[in-house]
Amino acid sequence: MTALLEVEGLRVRLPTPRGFATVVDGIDYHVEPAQVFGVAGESGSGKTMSMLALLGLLPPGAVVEGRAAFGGKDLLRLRGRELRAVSGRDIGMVFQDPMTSLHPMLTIGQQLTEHMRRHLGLGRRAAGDRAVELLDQVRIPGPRSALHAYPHQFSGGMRQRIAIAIALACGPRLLIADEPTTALDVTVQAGILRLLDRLRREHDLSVVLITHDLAVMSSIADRISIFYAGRVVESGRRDELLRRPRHPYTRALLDALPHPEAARDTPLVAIKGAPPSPQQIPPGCRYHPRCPYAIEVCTMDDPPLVPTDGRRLACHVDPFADGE
Amino acid sequence: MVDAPRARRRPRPSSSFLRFLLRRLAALVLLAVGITLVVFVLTQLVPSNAVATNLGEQAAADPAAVAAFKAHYGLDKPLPVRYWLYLRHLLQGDLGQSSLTHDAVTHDLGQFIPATAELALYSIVIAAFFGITFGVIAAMRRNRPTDHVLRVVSLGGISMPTFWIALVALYVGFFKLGWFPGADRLDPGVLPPPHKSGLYTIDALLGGQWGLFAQALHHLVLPALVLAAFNVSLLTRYTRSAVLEVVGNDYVRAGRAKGLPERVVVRRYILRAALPAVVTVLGLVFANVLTGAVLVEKIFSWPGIGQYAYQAAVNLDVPAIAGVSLFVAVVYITVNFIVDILYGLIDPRIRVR
Amino acid sequence: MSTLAFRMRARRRGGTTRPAWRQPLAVAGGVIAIAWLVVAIFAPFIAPHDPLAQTFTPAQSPSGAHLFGTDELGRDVLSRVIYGARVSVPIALLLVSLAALIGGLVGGLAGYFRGIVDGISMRTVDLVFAFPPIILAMVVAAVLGRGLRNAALAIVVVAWPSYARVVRGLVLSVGDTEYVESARLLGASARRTLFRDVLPNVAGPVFVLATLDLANAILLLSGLSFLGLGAQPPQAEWGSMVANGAQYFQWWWMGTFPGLAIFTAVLAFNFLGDSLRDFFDPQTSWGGDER
Repeated sequence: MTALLEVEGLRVRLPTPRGFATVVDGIDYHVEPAQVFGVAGESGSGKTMSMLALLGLLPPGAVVEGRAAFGGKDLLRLRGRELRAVSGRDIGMVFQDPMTSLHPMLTIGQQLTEHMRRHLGLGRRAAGDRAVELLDQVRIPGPRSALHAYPHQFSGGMRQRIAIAIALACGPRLLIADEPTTALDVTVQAGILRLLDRLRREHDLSVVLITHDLAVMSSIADRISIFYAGRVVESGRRDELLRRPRHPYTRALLDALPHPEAARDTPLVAIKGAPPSPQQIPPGCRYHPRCPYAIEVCTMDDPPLVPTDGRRLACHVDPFADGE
Repeated sequence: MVDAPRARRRPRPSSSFLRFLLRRLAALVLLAVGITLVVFVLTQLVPSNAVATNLGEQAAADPAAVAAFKAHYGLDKPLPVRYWLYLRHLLQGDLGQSSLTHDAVTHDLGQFIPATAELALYSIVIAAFFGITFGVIAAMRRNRPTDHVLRVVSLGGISMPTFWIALVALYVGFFKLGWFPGADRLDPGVLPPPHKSGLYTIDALLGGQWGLFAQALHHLVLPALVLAAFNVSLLTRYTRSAVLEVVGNDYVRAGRAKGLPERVVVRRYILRAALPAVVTVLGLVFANVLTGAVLVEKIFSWPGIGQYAYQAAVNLDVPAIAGVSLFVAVVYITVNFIVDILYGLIDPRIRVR
Repeated sequence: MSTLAFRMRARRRGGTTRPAWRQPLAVAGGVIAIAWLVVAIFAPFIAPHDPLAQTFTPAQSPSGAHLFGTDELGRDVLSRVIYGARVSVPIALLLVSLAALIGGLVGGLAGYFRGIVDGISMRTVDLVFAFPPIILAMVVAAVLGRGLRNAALAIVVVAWPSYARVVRGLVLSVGDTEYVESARLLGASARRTLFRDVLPNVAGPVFVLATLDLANAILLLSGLSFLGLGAQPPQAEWGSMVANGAQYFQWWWMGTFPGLAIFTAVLAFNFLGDSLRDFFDPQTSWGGDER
């Protein structure tokens, strides 16, 4: 199966008052057609920046290196008109907070149709009809009157549905969803995830789902990459990765999740320490200062991401190699 | 569905907008009443012999005329009664008689307002166009050379005394180069177009008098530009910060992610969102234009309300002072009221509150 | 206004922004302002001639003998500009301090006591704001009688309300924050709360406002004098000198140089005020601060 999106050696550097900070440092991944690819990691691990880089949405002055093959083109080389032809048309994007990602002064209809008319060449009426259809698909009640409403007239969950409808309007092949459920109530989250799952099946859509919440991941992702401090530390199929995590960091993330089935007295384990800031990346393995399994080599040598046992892993120690 | 629809099916902005409008209107009326009180008190403080200045020396010697005058304006009554009389005259459109022109103040205002209105109109349009453009440019080029240059230039613009730029403009544009006329609204001896709005450029256009239109415009160039200078700078500064408040927002990024051209992103996503903040400054711009008019009209011999106010103040022409300041204040709060309403119209979130 | 207070505190903790004095505009503004202060203080020693002496050939254009030329009565324009600094700058300083004091007091009381005090003072503020500043100042100056002192008083009348509004807003927002609440609960006296917690948060924004207001005050004061409502002849005052220059505008130096003096003095305080605002509000700063 050929990948829909293939990213190699992606590196993002952002300008700061004290020189450049490398927030994404050589990341490889691929997204297969009609699959959900999950990206997980703590905040500041470079998840969002690596996605914004694809559509040239980084803040001014950012430097991007690497390759991102998509439909025979390298997204990172596209500029201006070429990039805009892909953005919003072949790749849709959903942002974290639906309270801020919709323009407060434009109607839902305006925000839903403007790129359809531009990319698909639809007339006002055709675009309006398609907008109603889309709102119906994402289960917005009264879609026709919703077209004339403003974002503040909807709840957070409804707004995120609208944002998803906007991202899907031009029939993209890839949907990038950056923490689409983080800002929402837990009950609302489930609805959004089910919606994404359904749309993915109905539209033959690939989804990149960014989240720090492995529970969200476990419900719909097909494959998962774990990001840490701008690097991938482990990636593989969801079942493999979540049932038998091999990297100490993946393991720690899973241990930090509450398990309903777990025994009452099993303590929730928080990961000690905080992820390093991009300006103070430790030498060797980036995770070693927080890793209980770190040995001497970890402090000096940065482990490469290598295929191991049906997955890819970046760890010198690999303490869980034999399944515990 | 898990998240129950909280959205109102049929949004009814009209009724809540009406409430918003009525509330503002009530505040406006209260403020207007307050203004009449302030104006009344101020005029009572003026140390002058109202009878003598209004009737002239001869009539002032005639006790019957004096009594009639005093009775008409209630000068023989205590203050609260006089205020009440003042209000009653006001409601009848009687602002008194100017002691300088010996005409009704309302008549004088009618004479002088159009000239200032025309000047203000052009300079506000100029200021809004350039100020907003420069502000957006500065914000989009934040911390780059263009931005720094615009910062210094706009600070310079708000530091120049308007009456001084007027003088320099007059000296260069009229006296040295001879490119522009130096005084009045039309060339000497030229008859104004038939009175419709009182704005010569508009009336000339309505009458199809192209030559006259061009001439009126020619006369407007210097004073309008001079009046606009301060406000271009002011609007540049306000627009810049309003835009900067907006550019970092997610919805701007979302607009770019949709593949919209940068031009559309700037206009529809950034400028649209920054507009309410810019519009609120227009009230301030209006006040500045009036301030400027008072100072600039003197230099360009522009027969406007600024000159009238100045003459009234300098000559302690009490009814004229009262009439002008009342008129200007009421126009000013009305402009601010309109700005409020515009704000509500531009930002749908306000309407519903 | 409340965000301003918040940012002030946030800044003190973060402290990543550059200090104001390292910004070129602040330096330029400070230098010019100090220069004018020095000129004002030492005017008799700096000025080459008596500003009132009509001893020279009238209407000479600028030359080595008279750098700024002479006016229609044969007075040395340079000396008059130098003496003019003794009028505009000190009076502006004085009247802005007065306005800030009155406004600050009214706003502080309104914010602290709320209720009726607040209602009355804020309605008064609204009323003053209902007039374009120059109109009110002009009328007040006319009513009080022409003259520099009355013009300055008129400007105080139009200037105090902005301080009242800002201070009231700050006192309200600071009073609502938890630390003041907890200080009160802990039994801190009203005075202690005021001086320890409220005042430091109010001082910064008021200082910024006052600096920018100095610029406005100089403009307005010279404007009133230009109209003939402020300084009276033969006193050397910049605004009235420009007005005089307007009558003889073919002798450009008579109006141009005093106008330049106003411009530079106003510019200095605008530079300073703008840099100060950056310092307190780096979000939209025009300086080199990055977030």
